Amino acid sequence: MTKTTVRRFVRAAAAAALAAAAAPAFADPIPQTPHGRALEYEADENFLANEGVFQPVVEGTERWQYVHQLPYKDVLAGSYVRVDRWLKIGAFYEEQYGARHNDDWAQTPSGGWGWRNTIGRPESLLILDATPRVQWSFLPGGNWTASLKTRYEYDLYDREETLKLEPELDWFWMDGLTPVATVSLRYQTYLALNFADSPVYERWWYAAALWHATPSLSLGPQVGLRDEIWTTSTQFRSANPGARYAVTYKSWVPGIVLVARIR
Amino acid sequence: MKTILFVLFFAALAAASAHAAPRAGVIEYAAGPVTVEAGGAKRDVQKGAALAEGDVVATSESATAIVRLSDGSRLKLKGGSRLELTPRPNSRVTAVMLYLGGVFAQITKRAGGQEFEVRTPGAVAAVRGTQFFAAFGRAHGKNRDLWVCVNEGAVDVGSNSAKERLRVPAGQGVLIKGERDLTKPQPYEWTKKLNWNMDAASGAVEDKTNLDSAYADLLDQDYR
Repeated sequence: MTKTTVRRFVRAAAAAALAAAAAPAFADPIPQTPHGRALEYEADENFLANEGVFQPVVEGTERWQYVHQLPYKDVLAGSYVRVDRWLKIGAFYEEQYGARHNDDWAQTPSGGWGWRNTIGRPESLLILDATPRVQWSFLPGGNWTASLKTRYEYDLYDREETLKLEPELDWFWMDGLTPVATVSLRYQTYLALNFADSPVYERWWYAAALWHATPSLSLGPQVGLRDEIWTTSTQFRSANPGARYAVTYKSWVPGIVLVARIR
Repeated sequence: MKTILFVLFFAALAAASAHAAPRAGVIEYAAGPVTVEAGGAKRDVQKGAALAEGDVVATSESATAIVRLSDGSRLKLKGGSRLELTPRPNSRVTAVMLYLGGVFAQITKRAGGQEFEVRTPGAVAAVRGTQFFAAFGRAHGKNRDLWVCVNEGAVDVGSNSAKERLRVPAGQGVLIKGERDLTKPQPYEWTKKLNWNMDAASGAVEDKTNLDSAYADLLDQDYR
């Protein structure tokens, strides 16, 4: 065996070892993600009112998600209570369809593995919210606000508990005291409190602009960068004792936002 | 000799009248410490004190003063204000200069071509007969915001950096950011609390509006 042959053998063995480490071989397949970021679309509608210290809210979201752009939608209703100028707390009920959970990675009737069809599956959630918000006049331009939306979500369908943390920075373009437009940067992280192998199971980065067409109507574009971390499903764990996986699905999510305010 | 004395007398009289500033107004109401600065001297004044062109009227933070000008117009100074009764720049314009605080102006109707101006170092509000309010708002470094709010008639507002003047109608106000950038005139909720009364006999004249309330609205802009 020449030196060149030995070198080739060592390189091939190293490459094979690396490949094996990168894609652990399971008896059953794990969820696949596209190369790079997938493309999804989203529309958000918020309806807000002011009734003294109460701020009733109805929110709707429609998203066409994952590689096949499957429809997802949710409707949230409830009310904030403004405890102070800088703090509001709220309680909400949400109904959602098309949500995908880790345990939806399951065996198909034909014996293969795939995601369950959740398009028509209703899920109900109870939500508690606390959102402190302050004005940061010291930043250039003066018209800045910063907030931290903190939400506890309890999914009645599978009893999953989630803590959502959402820091946000907004800059208001003002004409006198009237807002003309708002530019927002937002980060969302979903922490799994009683499920999933990974503490963070979803995170978003948002950039959005909102044009305040009238005092009651605002609309604008937004773009989201979404990471969803799929970890071992219950069924997969049963079929493959000791096996674990964590796969990050990534997508771009351009969309539109509409806000209607009833004073 | 008589002729010489006669000429000297009239020369002295002419010189004296040339140096004495014309009477510009009177302090019609004073509550709290009010001072007048003239020729480098400062004196406390009460109701009835005469004011001359060039005098600077100053109110302490807790004071309110009403100045009645010789043409019948009235100026009400909020606490913490400084206002100069500017010598007339020309026969067409009567002007006052606001250096600090805020002033309510109730200006009598002017004859054609005549104007009354409330000036600040960076802006001007010109009228021909109206009731309006001008006050400094927040400071941004060396620049200060100026608010002009109109109760009756209309006010033409301009800044040193803006070529054109903007007409502010009754019931509306305008914010001149940093005394430079004119914003669109519009009704402002906070101006409903302004006390326009200038007649102490008919009720309180003190205005307690805090201009911070004009800025406290950003947290109300909540869309989520």
